[in-house]
Amino acid sequence: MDLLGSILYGFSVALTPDNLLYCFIGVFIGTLVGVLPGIGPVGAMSLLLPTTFHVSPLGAIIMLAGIYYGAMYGGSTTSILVNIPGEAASVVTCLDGYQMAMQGRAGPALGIAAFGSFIAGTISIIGLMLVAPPLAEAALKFGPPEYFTLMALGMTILIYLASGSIPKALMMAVLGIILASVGIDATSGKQRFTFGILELNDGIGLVPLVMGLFGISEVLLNLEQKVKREILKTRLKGLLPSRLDWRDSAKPIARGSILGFFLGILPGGGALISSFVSYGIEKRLSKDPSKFGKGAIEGVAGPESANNAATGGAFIPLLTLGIPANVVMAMLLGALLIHGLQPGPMLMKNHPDLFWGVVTSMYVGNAMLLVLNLPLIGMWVQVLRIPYRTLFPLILLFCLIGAYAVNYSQTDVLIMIIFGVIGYLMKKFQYEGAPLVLAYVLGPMLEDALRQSLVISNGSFAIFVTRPISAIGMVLAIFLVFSPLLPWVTKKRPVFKEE
Amino acid sequence: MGKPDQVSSLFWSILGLGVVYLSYRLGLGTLTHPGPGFLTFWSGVILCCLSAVVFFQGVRAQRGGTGVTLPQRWAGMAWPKSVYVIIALLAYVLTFTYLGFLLSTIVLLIFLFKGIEPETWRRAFLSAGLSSFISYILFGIWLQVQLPRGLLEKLLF
Amino acid sequence: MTKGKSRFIWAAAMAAWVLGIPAGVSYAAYPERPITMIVNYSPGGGSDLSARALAKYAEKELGQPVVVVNKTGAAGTLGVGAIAASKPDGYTIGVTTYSPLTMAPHMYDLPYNPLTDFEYIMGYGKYMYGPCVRGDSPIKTLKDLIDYAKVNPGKVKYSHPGLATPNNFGMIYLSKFTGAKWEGVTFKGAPEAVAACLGGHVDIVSQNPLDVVPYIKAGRLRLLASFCDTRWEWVPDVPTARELGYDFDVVSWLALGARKGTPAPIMDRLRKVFKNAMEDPEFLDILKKMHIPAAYRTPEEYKKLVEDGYIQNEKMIRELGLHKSQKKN
Repeated sequence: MDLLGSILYGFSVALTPDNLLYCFIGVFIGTLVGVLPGIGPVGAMSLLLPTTFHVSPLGAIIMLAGIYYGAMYGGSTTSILVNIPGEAASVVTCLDGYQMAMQGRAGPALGIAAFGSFIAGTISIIGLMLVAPPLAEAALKFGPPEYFTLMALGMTILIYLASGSIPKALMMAVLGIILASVGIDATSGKQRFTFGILELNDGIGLVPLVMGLFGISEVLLNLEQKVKREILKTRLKGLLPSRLDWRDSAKPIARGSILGFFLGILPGGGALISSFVSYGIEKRLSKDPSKFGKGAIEGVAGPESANNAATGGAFIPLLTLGIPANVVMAMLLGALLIHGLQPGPMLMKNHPDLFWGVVTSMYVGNAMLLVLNLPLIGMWVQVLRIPYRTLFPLILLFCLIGAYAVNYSQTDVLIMIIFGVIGYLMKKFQYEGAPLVLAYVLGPMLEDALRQSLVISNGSFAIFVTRPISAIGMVLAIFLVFSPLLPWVTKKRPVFKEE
Repeated sequence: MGKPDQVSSLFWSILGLGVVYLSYRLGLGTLTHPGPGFLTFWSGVILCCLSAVVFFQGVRAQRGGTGVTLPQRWAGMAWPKSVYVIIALLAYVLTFTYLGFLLSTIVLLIFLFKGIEPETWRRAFLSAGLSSFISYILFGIWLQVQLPRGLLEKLLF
Repeated sequence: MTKGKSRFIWAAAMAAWVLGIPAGVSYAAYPERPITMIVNYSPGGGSDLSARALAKYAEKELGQPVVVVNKTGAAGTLGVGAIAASKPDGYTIGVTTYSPLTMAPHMYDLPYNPLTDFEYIMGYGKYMYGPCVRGDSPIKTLKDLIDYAKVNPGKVKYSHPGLATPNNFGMIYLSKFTGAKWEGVTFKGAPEAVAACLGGHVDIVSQNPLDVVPYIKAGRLRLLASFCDTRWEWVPDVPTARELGYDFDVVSWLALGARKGTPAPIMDRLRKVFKNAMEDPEFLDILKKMHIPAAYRTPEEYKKLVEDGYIQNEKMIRELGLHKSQKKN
């Protein structure tokens, strides 16, 4: 079947009333779950999984997939409004999105997040349609040495994440690595820093960590201000992104989409890393990096596009090879199994209706989400008008429940509160949370990849440079680390900025 | 800048030393066969080194007069409120499973609505009750989150 | 008997009868509210979906919802720990798989004792294991692999999801029995382990049928042997290790259990209901799709499996140097 024929075929199955309904239910629940901090798509999907037993396989996957990318749309909402990531992947949006809200620009922030997500989603779906199988095979070539190099590259982005003092940012990164090591070390089987607490065997959860570090700490900081935030609410400068905003956001959206798409394909890559890398890249390429962290719309447009594109990319290994790139994909795999479908290399061949139906419904879903989310912007912005004394208890409550609901663990809630205090103190003493989170996510993967590579190579470090992909990455990483120093070395410091 | 940096960096160096020690005990392995403590050991070392850098930056700022003192950071802030909130949240977590969702949430919310910012008793009770009820419906029933059952739930259901 | 004594016995009998009535009545009314089923692995996986199918069936007979709650982490021990910490009133049950009960306790200090803290409802499924190589590899049989490994010492690598897993133990036992040597590379989970083999980064992948059968059918992977006491029903031509002359097998089990101390009438009810589930076509269908052979074991049989496994695995774990008493901290 030629490409156009397949696409039309896909639309014909995706646009049936049944499947449209499932799509809508999925994206709606996804948005809801994405907005609520803590509870994520996995929880919602596991709830709905039993109800899909009696639904057609295509309908089931459409709905469950809708929950997933719907959550990515919704996750940025609370990040922007109250500095609490609705999804862990939306952490980066907090950095500039919240600042924009504080400047009365919550509407444009939410708007560009929605539009960027839509464009990115579309681009990633096109990618999915055109190049899925070859990309999946290429992704298989990424073994431990390649992952190590990739993570090392990711770490270099850290340097660009910092708005303030570099030594402090590096300290936070190192701290992130240490925090990520808490738990059972898979390679040696030993418990690290668990102090006998069973729950810590599984480590410090990302979701409670991020909610506490960014969300709870922000509430605490706001509470102690004597001068209230009433000021901000009177200066709502329009609900949608302006022409200038669009001009600034165009390239970040494009870059973010492509970046997110490719990073999403790699198992373990994913939305969070894509959004961080996008942020770093935008800052690096920006003519005025200093505006990042203070409400730069590029800091919202790029990462939000990246994390949505990553959700599209994540489908590739699942649909073409049967390898789930993350926990959500693993659930979809389970759903496919329940419906008697064998995920794996044969899926596309044996069930083209499934593949094309899902892919085209993703497009439909993205469109639905845009239509759903845009009018809601007006509503969300009103939330900021609620007096803080009424708002903050609700914020705290939702965080508490959300953190508990992740794994039914009181320890998780405790961790969130503790990191709320730590985050508060960090902000007081001027340490940044973003480098910590990035290192926390990359650190374990870096360590695992290193140890795996060394076992494979029998202890030789040469493996990192003898394998082509890895070698290229290494060169790139070294370049990135030292390139800021280039002006000093060549004494070509630009005195005036070009305009 | 200044004193706060000195204080914070001191804290981090102590933490770093603790990490270095524990990592050493976990086992460093060799460069070609890193042990479980390898990465964290070096992380701890880097943490200590960087805290030294920050410490000296702080000293320099203080000497140069660009520093801020510790009390200044908290000047004009109603920081006791944050403390009360934290205590309330901790109390909530610890009694949550025993008292059950509804009761502990209502108590927490009354405290948060009333005890931190000025609010009338009536509004506090109303807001607390309404919010608890709505979140019970939203989370407990719609999203099927298994919220702990305690005294109040046993009475009502 | 003296008069006093017989009176005493009468009184005691009366008291027991009177006290017994409310107890009897309340057990007949069980369950009066929803039951929680704790699943110790992530949603969407084999353990999770099979448990959900059981829950669905049980709801019909018990008349109350059976709500699945995933409490994942730490190789399945967090969920099992939650069962051990629950009230033994019959309203919390859960999946009590084999390895958190027989392997993990030797490696970590856990807040539960696998030999005394649980009452089992039933064993219901088997996890199978076996080594696979890539489809395009020149290695066609287990013998080829052994020969290859002996000629190329230090070269052969296999992927597994954790040190104290049957996947890993299988490869280690095989190495001991054949004299061929290979080294294990730990990956985070099954998909990563499989991808590593498919991508050529390791030579062998040691996983459950669920994870590899689709690739075997597509020709991307080849199963060399079954590590279990029986062959894999999806690849019936491949012999077991034992058939090839290596006398060992590794297996793991899926089971349901509750906290010890749960009243006997409730346990009986649960056992009866879930035993009936083993005949439910929907449940059996799910097991089939998950590539988990249905394997009913009575509570006593499962208890014995756990006890035997506990002792047997302790030996292996000590040999590997992973026992908690062997670690410095």
